[in-house]
Amino acid sequence: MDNLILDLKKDIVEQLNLQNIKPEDIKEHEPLFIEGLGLDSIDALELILLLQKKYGIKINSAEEGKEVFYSVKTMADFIKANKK
Amino acid sequence: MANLFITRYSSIKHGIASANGKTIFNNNAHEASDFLKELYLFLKTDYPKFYKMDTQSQLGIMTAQLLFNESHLPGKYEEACIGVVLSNSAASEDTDSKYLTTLEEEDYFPSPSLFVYTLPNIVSGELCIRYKIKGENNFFISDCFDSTILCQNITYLMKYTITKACVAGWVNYKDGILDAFLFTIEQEAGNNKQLLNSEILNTLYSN
Amino acid sequence: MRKVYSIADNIVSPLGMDSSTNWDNVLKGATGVKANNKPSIHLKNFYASSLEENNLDDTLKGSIDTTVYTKLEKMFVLSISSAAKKCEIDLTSSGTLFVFSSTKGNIDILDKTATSNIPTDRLNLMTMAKSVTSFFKNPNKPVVISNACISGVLAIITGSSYIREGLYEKVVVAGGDIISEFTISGFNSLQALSQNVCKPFDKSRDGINLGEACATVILSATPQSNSSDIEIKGGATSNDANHISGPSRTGDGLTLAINNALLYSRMTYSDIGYISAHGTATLYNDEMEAKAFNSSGLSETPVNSLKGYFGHTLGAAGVLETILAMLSVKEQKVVASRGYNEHGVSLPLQVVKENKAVSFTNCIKTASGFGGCNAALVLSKNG
Repeated sequence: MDNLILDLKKDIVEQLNLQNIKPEDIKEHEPLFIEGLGLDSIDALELILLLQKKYGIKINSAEEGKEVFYSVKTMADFIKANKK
Repeated sequence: MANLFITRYSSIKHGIASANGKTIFNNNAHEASDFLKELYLFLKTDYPKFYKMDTQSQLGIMTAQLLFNESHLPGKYEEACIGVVLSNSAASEDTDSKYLTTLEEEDYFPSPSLFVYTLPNIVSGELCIRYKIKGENNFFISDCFDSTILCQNITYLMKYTITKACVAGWVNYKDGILDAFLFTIEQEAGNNKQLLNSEILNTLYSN
Repeated sequence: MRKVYSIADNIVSPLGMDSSTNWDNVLKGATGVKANNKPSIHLKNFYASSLEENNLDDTLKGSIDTTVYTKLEKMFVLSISSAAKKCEIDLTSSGTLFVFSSTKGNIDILDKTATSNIPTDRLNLMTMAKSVTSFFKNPNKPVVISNACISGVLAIITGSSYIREGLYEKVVVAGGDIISEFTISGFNSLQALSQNVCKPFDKSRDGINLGEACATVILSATPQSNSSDIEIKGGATSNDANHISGPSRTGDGLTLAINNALLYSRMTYSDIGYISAHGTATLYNDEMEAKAFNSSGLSETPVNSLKGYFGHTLGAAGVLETILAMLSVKEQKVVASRGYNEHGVSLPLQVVKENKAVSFTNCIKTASGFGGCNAALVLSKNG
């Protein structure tokens, strides 16, 4: 699980082009949207792509993804539960 | 109609970032996007959104930072009274190519964050967001810097609309080459006292 | 300041090759939007309004070598020459300026199955524009405007400014965009595409349809004699300064553009008898427009969106929809906002459900686009 969390942090930084942020600086329980990292709707769509590309999991809309993308931890839990 | 004046100008070209003709930063050893990041750090810019932008928008944002560095144009006028009139020849060519790489048959994952930058006027949008500019917008495509078309448009806006100041110029990123020139137009002469006309703009652009 | 009139126009779209055929089809409730499958487009069964290139080539046969121009260029040539035939204009004169509006130009050159031999330098918007002005032997450098989805309205505003300043006798404003893998995949990646024919302002709206079209208006300081030319009264643009792709949640930017367009036209909201909205049918755009129309006093004014007939034609939209607004003024008729059944925005609007006769002199065309831009244009019956 720890590896997944670390990988996810690296993936998020890369996929979202967060060049001024180090993966280790992202706290796993910190909200990703609005507060915390302050990601926006376009970032949500990129995270949907990330899940599809790397883990083969399809999320149909940003709405559907809201709970999944709450934090790195919720993303990791979702991936563990749904990974193909 | 009152005269219009070029009150400040800035440029990023040939590895040199300058404001009002004075070199602020130079480094021609670097690749374009690295140059812009170095400049960002050198000017102690505090605007993390910069990192998400495409190279052309980063170019526009840094040239605007040089333009507004000591002046207070955004604070001097009401938001709705400042216009943005930009131009280039490349449209959004570089980002178009990057977006295309996400459409490869074997690796088909069209990227929304790249797609939103595949329009030339997005750089205007980024400028407006950062400096809270809400007035008239225009974006012209021309083969090269066309001072005539910009003068005509700016003059019209300042004469017939509520526009009291304009940010205008050229923001072009093509084939790895950065070429940006921005200037501000106001109804009061600044220290430079340069009247707005095509010839002066061409001279300032070429220097 | 000189007045500006639209003395001729043309629409080339799946609903017809001239403005009146398009108008007649819109009155009948026809739509160019349908399910499409194209070899060059990855997404299957996408809903869009697509123009058959064969139809275009057939219509142009004999007047142009259809093998050396792109689809969009052919659309421009057809639309501009058709409009020019309806008025007194010398396209070869230095007193005639061409103003183009396009968001992506010849982007279909990049489509994987493109077989044409068009050189890739025609991806450049100015190069594309010049290939059209060269065809017409116009000596002037064209003006090319590319400002997202407000380009068409902005091109009319900018074109008008040249007439008002006496810089040119006539200005040909032409807007166009085509469907391509580039734009379909892009809007799809934003989850912006509808799964069906779009429904602007409706409760069940779920996104846009893309469309392809080319539309032309010819502007002049003097109306044609004995005609019902429409006057371009005034226009304005603005920026939300909020987000590069998401519409403002307040509608303040569009409100500013509308209020300024009215100011420059020496009018108030009560002078406006009809609104031709942008109405793309995304959740956020339509909600934003509803806020703006309410803020500017237009909540009681008949309004429609034409995107259900033509799809969103990007660089053509502002010109195409302005032409239909002009026809509405001439015919004193407002067409149904196709796709609207149940009110789906949080504020009241008078969305027109069925074609109806409306007595009015002035109307307003609005548009909004990526980059946070907005535009509004006021049109008036002449005389």
